[in-house]
Amino acid sequence: MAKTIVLEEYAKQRSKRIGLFKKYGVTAIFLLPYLAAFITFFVIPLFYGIYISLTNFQYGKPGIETFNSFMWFKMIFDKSYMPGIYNSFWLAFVHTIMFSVIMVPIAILLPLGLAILVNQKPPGFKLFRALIYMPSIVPLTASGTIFTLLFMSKSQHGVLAEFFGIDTMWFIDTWFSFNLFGQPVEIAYAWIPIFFMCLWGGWGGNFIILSAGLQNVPKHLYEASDIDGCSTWRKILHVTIPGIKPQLVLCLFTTILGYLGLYGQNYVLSGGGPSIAAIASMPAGGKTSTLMYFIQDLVANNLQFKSSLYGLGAAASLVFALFAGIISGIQMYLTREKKTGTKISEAYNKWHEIR
Amino acid sequence: MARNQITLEQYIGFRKQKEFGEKKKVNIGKVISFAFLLIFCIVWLSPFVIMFFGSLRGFSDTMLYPKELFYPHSGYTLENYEMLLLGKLPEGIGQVNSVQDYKIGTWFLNSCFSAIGGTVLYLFVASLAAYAFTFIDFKYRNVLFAGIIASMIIPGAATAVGNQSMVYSMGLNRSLLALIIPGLGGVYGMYLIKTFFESIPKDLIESAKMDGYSNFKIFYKIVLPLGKTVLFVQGLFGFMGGWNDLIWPQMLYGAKDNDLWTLQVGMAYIINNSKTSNLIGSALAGGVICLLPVLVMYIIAQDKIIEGMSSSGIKG
Repeated sequence: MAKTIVLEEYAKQRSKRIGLFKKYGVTAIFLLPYLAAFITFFVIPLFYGIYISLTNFQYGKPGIETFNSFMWFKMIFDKSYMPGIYNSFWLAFVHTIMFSVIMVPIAILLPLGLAILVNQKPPGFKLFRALIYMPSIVPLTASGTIFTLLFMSKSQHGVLAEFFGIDTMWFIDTWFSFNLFGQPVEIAYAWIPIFFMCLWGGWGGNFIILSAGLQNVPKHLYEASDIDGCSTWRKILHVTIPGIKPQLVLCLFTTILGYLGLYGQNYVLSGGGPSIAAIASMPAGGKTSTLMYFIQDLVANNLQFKSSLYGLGAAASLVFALFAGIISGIQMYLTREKKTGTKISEAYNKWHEIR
Repeated sequence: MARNQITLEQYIGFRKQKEFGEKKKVNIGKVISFAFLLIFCIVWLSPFVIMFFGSLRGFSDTMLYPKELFYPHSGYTLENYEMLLLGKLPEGIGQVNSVQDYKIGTWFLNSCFSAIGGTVLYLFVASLAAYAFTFIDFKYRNVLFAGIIASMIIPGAATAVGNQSMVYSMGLNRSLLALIIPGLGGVYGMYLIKTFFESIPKDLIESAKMDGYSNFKIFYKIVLPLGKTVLFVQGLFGFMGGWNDLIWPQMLYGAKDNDLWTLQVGMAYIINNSKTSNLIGSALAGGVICLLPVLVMYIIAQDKIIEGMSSSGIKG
């Protein structure tokens, strides 16, 4: 008798367990690998990075660090605390912003123009589209070799020097300088090769997205504007551009974010240099440094900085991330508004149909 | 009545004029855009040609006859590739120590491992998660998914430093696994796969469940075959992203351990060492090696890649 009760209980428990497994186990098996990776390599590192930026953490020796009263952030924001690091960080910031301001409009307008041309559907437009996108798949280092060859100095027989006789030391000379808030900012010629490298291969995605957007602009709008006697220019301005607004917004923000994170081009071509004498021993103390270069110099490229200033790298990357996060937040807000708009109208249509 | 009458001649004249006029107009637009695109493509693709022929040029030709870009003075040669791959220095080039630590073969394999392994693993993990988020009902599903999507607002830079230390603490800092595992938590690819899965009719899944299919069977037999295209496109992007990535491998092994470098890190080092006319040829050869896998893939799957790019823009 006693045995049967045990068996019954056992069976009950077993079915309960199976039920639990059926309820949660399957979900867990599907979801767990991804969630585990997401938490381990996104959520934890996010807070770990914040923790590192608040302590005197030493890379490779976790566990002995103590709180250091915002020392790394003071280095970035307090001019008198460590002027060298302050200067090199904000110079990198200025470089990044200036280059973005020049590059972003070009990286939108050039692909937009090309997309409009391709959208005329000349013979072989699919081939043209494929060819125009091609430079954008090239790894940075591969295109870096080409632009090194083009811009090598005359003594090293660079292509531009040989064919056009331009005798500029592209990676050494300073182009011009000006004062910003009482601080001299020297613009190196090395920005020109970087500019051309970005011009060559830095906007292919925009081109594809914009030309896809152009194909979705309703044809009848063009016909209507034809009847109203619009010129081509007015058609582009008043039909095309509003028609591809979502794509333009997307491209604008991804491009801004991309150029704020500029790193590979200047690392490969100029190595962040030519160095500035006053802050040459500081991280990213060069005339083509960018924010990302500053961070990478601290946490990856220079072993000395990595062992002594690791927390500064974490702090700088948080400052950068805050900056970039605000921009992508604005983007998400702008694109989401549109989405919920269509969602609401779709829901309304459904409701209407049912009624 | 009389107002509407048009003679046949008038009508034919009108039609002719209309057709002729329209045809001419369209042609001009097409011709202009064709000519412009042709010129543009020639200019934009010339660097590829310069790179390819530059890599086939001997180092002495680069120094002595730098203007002969496409037809080298003493003929095409593979000495740049030999220098890179076999460490064989051509005669008369002088002492070049750094060439000895070029381990292009190892770097190439590392890159392959990171790009292919990372992509395959990510597709597996992400499609499992996307399936769970689309077809399995569980508590807090939407909240969880919204949280994961919202995390896209935080750029990679915020987590990179923490990740680096994290990987170090896990003891992976001298392992190639560190190249691929942190990528498994990527959100964007999972999001794209999920949006595709949503377009699979729910009725199909429901009826399969009625027939007694388990979730694994549905995933394997129905969802994966239907989602082949999106997985393929996502795989292409994953491969290209992994192959072209410079920042993360450099953070892991940047200043040390050149056995663990990927091709990108190694190439950056090679370029740094070859900014002179006698060595630039070897850098160009390295560039060709570095570009080749991506280029071949692009040429094969070009329409799929462009399609995938386009749809990401239309949706997002």
